Amino acid sequence: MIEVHIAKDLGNFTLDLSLSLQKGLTVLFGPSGAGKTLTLQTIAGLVEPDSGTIRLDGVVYFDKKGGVNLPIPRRRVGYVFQEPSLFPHMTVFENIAYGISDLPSEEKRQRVKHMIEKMRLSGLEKNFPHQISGGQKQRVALARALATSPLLLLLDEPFASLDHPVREKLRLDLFRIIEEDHVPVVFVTHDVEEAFVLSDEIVVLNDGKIEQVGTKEDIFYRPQTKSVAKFFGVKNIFYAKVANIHPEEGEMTVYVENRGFEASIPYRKGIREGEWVHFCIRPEEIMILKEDRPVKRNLRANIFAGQIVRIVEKGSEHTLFFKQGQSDYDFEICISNLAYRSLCIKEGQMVKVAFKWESIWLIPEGK
Amino acid sequence: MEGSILFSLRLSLQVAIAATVLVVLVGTGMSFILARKSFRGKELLDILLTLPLVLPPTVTGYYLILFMGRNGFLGKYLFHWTGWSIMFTWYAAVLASFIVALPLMIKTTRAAIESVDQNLINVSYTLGHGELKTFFKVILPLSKKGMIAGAILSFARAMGEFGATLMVAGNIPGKTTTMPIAIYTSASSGEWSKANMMVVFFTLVSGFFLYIANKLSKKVI
Repeated sequence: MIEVHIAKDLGNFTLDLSLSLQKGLTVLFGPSGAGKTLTLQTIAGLVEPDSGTIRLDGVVYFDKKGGVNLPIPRRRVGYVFQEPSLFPHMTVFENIAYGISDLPSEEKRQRVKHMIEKMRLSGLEKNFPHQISGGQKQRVALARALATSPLLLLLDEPFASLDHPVREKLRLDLFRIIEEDHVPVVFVTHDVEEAFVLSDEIVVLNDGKIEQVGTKEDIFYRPQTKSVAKFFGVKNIFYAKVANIHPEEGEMTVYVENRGFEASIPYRKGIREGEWVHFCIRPEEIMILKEDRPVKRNLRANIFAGQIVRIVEKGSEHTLFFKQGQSDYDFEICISNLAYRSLCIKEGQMVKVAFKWESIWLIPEGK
Repeated sequence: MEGSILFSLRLSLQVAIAATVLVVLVGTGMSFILARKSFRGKELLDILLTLPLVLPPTVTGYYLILFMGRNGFLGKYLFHWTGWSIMFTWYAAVLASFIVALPLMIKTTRAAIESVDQNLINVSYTLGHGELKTFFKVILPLSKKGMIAGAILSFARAMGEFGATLMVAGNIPGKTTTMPIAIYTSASSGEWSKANMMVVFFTLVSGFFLYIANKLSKKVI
């Protein structure tokens, strides 16, 4: 288990976090400048925190009060950067062999050979880094880190500069490594898709602090803060005042002042009239109602009439901007191409839209 | 060729080779410290080491007399314990050439070391290697060209050292008359054919060294 409790002040940026990571793969997600890389650097020992402790399986790597700061070479933490950072003056074989120091030469050769086969690098042993492709370079970097049998593997957006198909293959390689070597991995990314594909557990970092730790489901449907909601594609976030509460019906009415509309949302215990909340609806949770179909009961009061002001094609889906009042647009709606074709919608068309209660998520004010 | 020319050529080569060996050893260490370490007085150290590049060689030589002369700060202890003084020996010529050529080595080598990607150094650390091994296996091979360029420039500079050498080693025929000093002597006594020969030789050799150094350092930077 990795336990990180650290603070680091860089003047214009402060990192302050507490993390306990189990074995397996943990995704550290956050926008650029969130402090993801800095977190990895402190774990690896490349940056010294101002205070706190870092432990790996009970071994103290860093303890400010206890005066412990284990030197980088003794931490046995593998680190792969976005740039493969291969030694340009060494061949693929030499790069992978570089970190293996405590083995007799024949065993060392065997180990390198094993890593080369495992990372699909056979035939490239004698090539220099400038002679191989980006994906191959990153595989060499992974092999080089793994060859030393690290206690922990830190991956800092390792696939960010690779093409999509190459990236997918490398992910599979990574899964295989984790399964075979049982090495715990901390994977940093700012890519939502990558975060979801890789791990069940996601740590969301923003502005040097942890915003949320949770499962994919939690992060996606139950974001604890506005920034988490934004990072994971909740396009419709409204700041609303609680107008009426009906606890017995499990309902409350909120008024979105800056857009001038009311909505009915599920009642939340403890909330009072006059309080402010953020309520969110994912763009794919808003429905466009067909004129000829009866409105289902569970849509309740949240039906809005207005106009589709803009349509943006996004490959496998379409984004529609819906407006009822005076603002630029009120809802961002995302529908599949199939639904888009069957609706025959055009810009400027008047429509009715609706969303279900289950689709609404509340975030307390100030979060 | 005259015996005195051959002697001065041999002496100049001998001095330049000895000075370059010292320059490479000290210069590499100093460059590493200046490029990779931060400490108080670092810039002052850099200035002190670079000064001989811009000072008149006679001033550098004067300082060397102050330090290493029979009554100098260090020289007096040396004389006290051994009864020997470095002044007016070929060792003094080596010392003068070393001090004057050192900045050239440090300038090129420091730049070469600083241009090594920090990520590569960090990778080496995370792969379990300490500073020393990282220096020899990563930093040194990757800044090799800059260092060779620095060594060649230093060698050329050491070969051509005149002012500081004259101050500390003097002009003792058959003992400390290096080629640049021999050229001076020939010119001042009107032995033009002798001077011409040495001047042409020097120009060609120095030009060749510059060409090699440029070729190497362009690839580094």
